[in-house]
Amino acid sequence: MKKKVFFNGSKAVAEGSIYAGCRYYYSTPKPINNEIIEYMSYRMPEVNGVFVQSENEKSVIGMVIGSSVAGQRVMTSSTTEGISSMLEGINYMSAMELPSVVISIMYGRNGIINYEQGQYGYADFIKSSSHINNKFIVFAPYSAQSAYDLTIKASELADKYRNPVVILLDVYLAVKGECIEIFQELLHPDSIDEKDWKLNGAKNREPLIYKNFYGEDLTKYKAIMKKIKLMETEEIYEEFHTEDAEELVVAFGSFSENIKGYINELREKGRKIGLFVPVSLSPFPRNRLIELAEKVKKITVTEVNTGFMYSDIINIVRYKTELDFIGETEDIVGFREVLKEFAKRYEI
Amino acid sequence: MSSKNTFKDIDTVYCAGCSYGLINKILAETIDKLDLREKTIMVTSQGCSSFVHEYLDLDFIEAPSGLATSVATGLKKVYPEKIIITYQGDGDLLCSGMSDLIHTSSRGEKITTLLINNLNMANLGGYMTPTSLVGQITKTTPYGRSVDKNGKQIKISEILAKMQGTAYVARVSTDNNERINDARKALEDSLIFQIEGKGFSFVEFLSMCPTFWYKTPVESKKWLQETLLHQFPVSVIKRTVSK
Repeated sequence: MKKKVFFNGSKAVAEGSIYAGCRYYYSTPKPINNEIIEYMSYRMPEVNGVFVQSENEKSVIGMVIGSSVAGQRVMTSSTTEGISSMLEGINYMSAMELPSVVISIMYGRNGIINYEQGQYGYADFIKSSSHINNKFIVFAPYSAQSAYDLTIKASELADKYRNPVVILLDVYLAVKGECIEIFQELLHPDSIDEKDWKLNGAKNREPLIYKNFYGEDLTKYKAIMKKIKLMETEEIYEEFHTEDAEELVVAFGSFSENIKGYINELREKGRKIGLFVPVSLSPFPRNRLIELAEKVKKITVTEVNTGFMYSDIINIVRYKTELDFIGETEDIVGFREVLKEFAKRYEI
Repeated sequence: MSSKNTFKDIDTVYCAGCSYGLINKILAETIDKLDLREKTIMVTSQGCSSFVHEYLDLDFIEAPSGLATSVATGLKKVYPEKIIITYQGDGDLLCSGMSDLIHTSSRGEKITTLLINNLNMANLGGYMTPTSLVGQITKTTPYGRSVDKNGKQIKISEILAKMQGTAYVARVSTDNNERINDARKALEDSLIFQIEGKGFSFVEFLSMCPTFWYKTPVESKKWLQETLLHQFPVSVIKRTVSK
């Protein structure tokens, strides 16, 4: 049974993770992250969960590691610059095969604190994030409803692959309220599998040791590589008017909703244009994009950054069709100017 | 009573004269004495302290640099009834782990932190740490630690004793039988304080590191007794009575 509530993306991810069995949330205040941390500070005690406001992001990720290795579903959230401080720990988690859900809220304007829409966080996790050779599943919701649904999915996938799963929220999504449907009852704890790998004291079993140095033995490393291959099946995407499209626009996050408005206007004018929204940025829905690229005359990639996704799409599409980019350049900075440039190019 | 001994009887990787082996042994014996083996989870960190999982038959997690006390916090939130011990060297705990340590103790997390203080980052190759003595030669203080450049050593036990959340703070040494017995007692008390839920408990071990003190084991022991014990006096610094 579902009920309707008025939630912004922040509350949606918080409630989504609580539905999915997360009872441990650690974070530290940051602008824009405030919606999640405030919500969790009163919601966690209601569901007998644990909320700790920590002193900095490094210790946040330490606590996340501790509760994760104890076999619990854990979540943390911060803005992209806060997540940058956590990267060392997130990479350790990936190397030690510990699951968690990480919410990264993307700032605008090169991380200088402001509430403007930006998509700079794209580059954080899509490729292997820094000192390890690993990949993460990254979801970019485009609405509060999708943020709720994807957080539930992220919790399951984190456990399935024993790897942190990242959700990239953008500023508008984090603060903009909308009517969404959520489950009335929380997921029953029995439906979450007991972890046989958790640390709980070496009683009636051999001790478990989690360490980040494995010496000459490559077995574990190879197992992780195999897991990365399996993660590539978790593609999610949305399409809009692509069935008869001659031109295609690719955009992600809540920015794609802005573009959707323009696509509607262009359709009304009779232009055969469609929109492709990669919801899972990693693994990127490459097969579907290649199929579409073979059908359409031109693909325009638009995003509020200097073209992180564009460079990935160049690699995927290659010479199958004409490619164009509308994003930040030396003249166009910020989300409003990118939208203005889009409108100008398409004569809206 | 657990059927197994916590201490594993295997060859040691530590250098000649290093105190780690002895500290591991008394830790294992204390855990066995209190019958805690099956409910103990150890959090180690970077450096020589990370070898401890080779010698103790316990569940282990190796935390990223400096984060052991935070990882222990995360574990304790899930398992309030289990015994969580962090085992860290001075390079790890007092350099990158300082903020975590202060805040964990301030929150009064019911965990036990063991600091193995050998005055240098031995595993990395003998570099200066906040506890290196003034005048001490390390790889990054080739002319000796100077007060002007590097300041004086941090006496963390005295700092932690002033924190509201700490219940038990002691500094111990393992250079003679009498002090080994004191260390054993301090270790036992710190774990009992955790079991009783009195607050954060902390034991600082003065450890010899002949390799990077550039001394023989015999000279190291003499130096520890004549110089180090004056700078870092051993005693039970804080012991709260009430809960």
